[in-house]
Amino acid sequence: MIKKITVVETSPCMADKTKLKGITEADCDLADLLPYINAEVKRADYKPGSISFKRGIIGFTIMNKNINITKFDNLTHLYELLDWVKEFLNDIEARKNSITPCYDLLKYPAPTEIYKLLPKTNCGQCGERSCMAFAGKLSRMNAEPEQCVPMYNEENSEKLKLLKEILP
Amino acid sequence: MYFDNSATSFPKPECVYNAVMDYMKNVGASPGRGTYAKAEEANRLLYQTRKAAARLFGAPRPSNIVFTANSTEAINLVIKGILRQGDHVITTSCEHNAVWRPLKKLEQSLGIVVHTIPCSPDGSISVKDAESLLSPLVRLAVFVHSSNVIGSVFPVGELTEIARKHGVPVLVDASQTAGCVPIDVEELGVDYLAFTGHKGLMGPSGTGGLYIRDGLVLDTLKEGGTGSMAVSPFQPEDAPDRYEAGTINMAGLAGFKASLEFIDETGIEEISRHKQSLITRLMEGLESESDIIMYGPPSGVLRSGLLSLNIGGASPYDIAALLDKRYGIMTRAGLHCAPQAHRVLGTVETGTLRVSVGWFNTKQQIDTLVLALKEIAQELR
Ligand SMILES: Cc1ncc(COP(=O)(O)O)c(C=O)c1O
Ligand code: SF4
Repeated sequence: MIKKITVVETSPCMADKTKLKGITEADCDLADLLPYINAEVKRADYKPGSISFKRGIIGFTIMNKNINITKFDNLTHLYELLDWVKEFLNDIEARKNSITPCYDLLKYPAPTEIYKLLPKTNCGQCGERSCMAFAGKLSRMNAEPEQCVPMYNEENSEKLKLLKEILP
Repeated sequence: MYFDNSATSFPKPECVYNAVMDYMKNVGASPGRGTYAKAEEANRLLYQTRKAAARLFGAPRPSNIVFTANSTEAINLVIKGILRQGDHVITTSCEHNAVWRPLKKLEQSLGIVVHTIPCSPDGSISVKDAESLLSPLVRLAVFVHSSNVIGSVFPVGELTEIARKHGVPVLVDASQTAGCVPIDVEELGVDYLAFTGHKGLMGPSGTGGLYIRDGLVLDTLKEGGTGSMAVSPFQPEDAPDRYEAGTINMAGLAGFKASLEFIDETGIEEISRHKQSLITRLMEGLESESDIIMYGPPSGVLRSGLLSLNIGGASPYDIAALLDKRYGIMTRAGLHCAPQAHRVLGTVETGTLRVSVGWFNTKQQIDTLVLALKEIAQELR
């Protein structure tokens, strides 16, 4: 059980300079818990020794004692997130016996598979120069489907459904 | 014997003194301004203070709480952060100068229009009167939760419901009620709640703050260093950092954390019951003395731990001085920074003598005070 998580360092986020990222350290090793977290969290990126997942725009990466967090607003926000993650991980720890650990690695869909479903107009509303570039970002979970506004038009609803199915 | 707890509470719980000393001697670092272990400790301390305040007021998240120097600053932040040229505002007829003066200032400088809901001398206020003053021009409603002169507790939940139905955001001045009666911001439905740390909350002076409902953004009162986002030339958008420019009063807040924990452990209901029983005992004790005029609601009605009174036509200043010199009893005479409330009572010329109780006052002390006041009343006859 985690009793305390200490903040080791905070610094501006690389991707978004208006947000912060932080390195924090729990008072116990979390390595054994990773496959259980993988079983509980959808779209988690599990590798032996580490796991990453998102909650909204906030990213969490857990490795041994470290819990690294990205894209929070300020220190108060960080401590709120630490309260949450502590409770979340302790809850998984408490229910460990009834969870089947999962060792599956996250499978990224091929960008070309995603591209086939996008509008292919290169309109740029997603913030990328082309639909292909956006497909690349989507496949690595560095973007959200919501960013492609035309995808939410009535005529694309079938494709949107397929897209959401193949995304991790 | 100290009966001026509505001005500032004294004594404080022992843990408050210890927490201030412990922070100053053993932590020392400033929160948000470093990455060494002591700075982490300070950050954590600040966060836990915020969390304790959020918990007491039923705020969903610690970041709903912004720390200020006192409620005066918190009130100024909301009033000046919202009101613009020609806006209308509704408030009550018995506000403290902490509300009244900022409004009067904006009346002069921005031509805002202030509408007041009349409060009766018995401390009641009509929700209907409030509704009749709400027009589409009204941009803000400010209600004192309890006047520091009259002592009645206003139905701010009902007032808030009416205001918000008309799309008007509500600021409640909880300076006298925080730490005196249970407050739940979500239940009341308020958008902003101003509190001060040194009165009923039993913390050090120089502490206080503002609850801000999720999603609301105010213009800033001051700009400067926040420890976060230092490269940006502009104040951050997100609370609490947006409103906390400059190095924070961490020594005070360390003590405030301790007092909030003390209240949590003691139970706000228990504190409320204790203060109410002391005030009821005082009022019942003085009832038989016909020369003593007691203002505000009758005995038994909920009060914020205070009673204003006068003895015949005598000057309250003289009575306060006599109580102090002869009996060692500390009370407060005058207008209590709230001439508006004295206009309601008809005491703006004379002022009143105010007795205000705290968690550490006892029944025996009330009995001594009753005897002293009766003795003075009889001498003056
Ligand atoms: C009703 C009310 N509002 C505001 C204040 C101002 O409190 P502070 O001086 O702590 O800002 C007081 C204090 O007397 C008060 O009684
Ligand atoms: S918004 Fe959609 S359609 Fe437009 S460029 Fe991006 S991916 Fe292509």
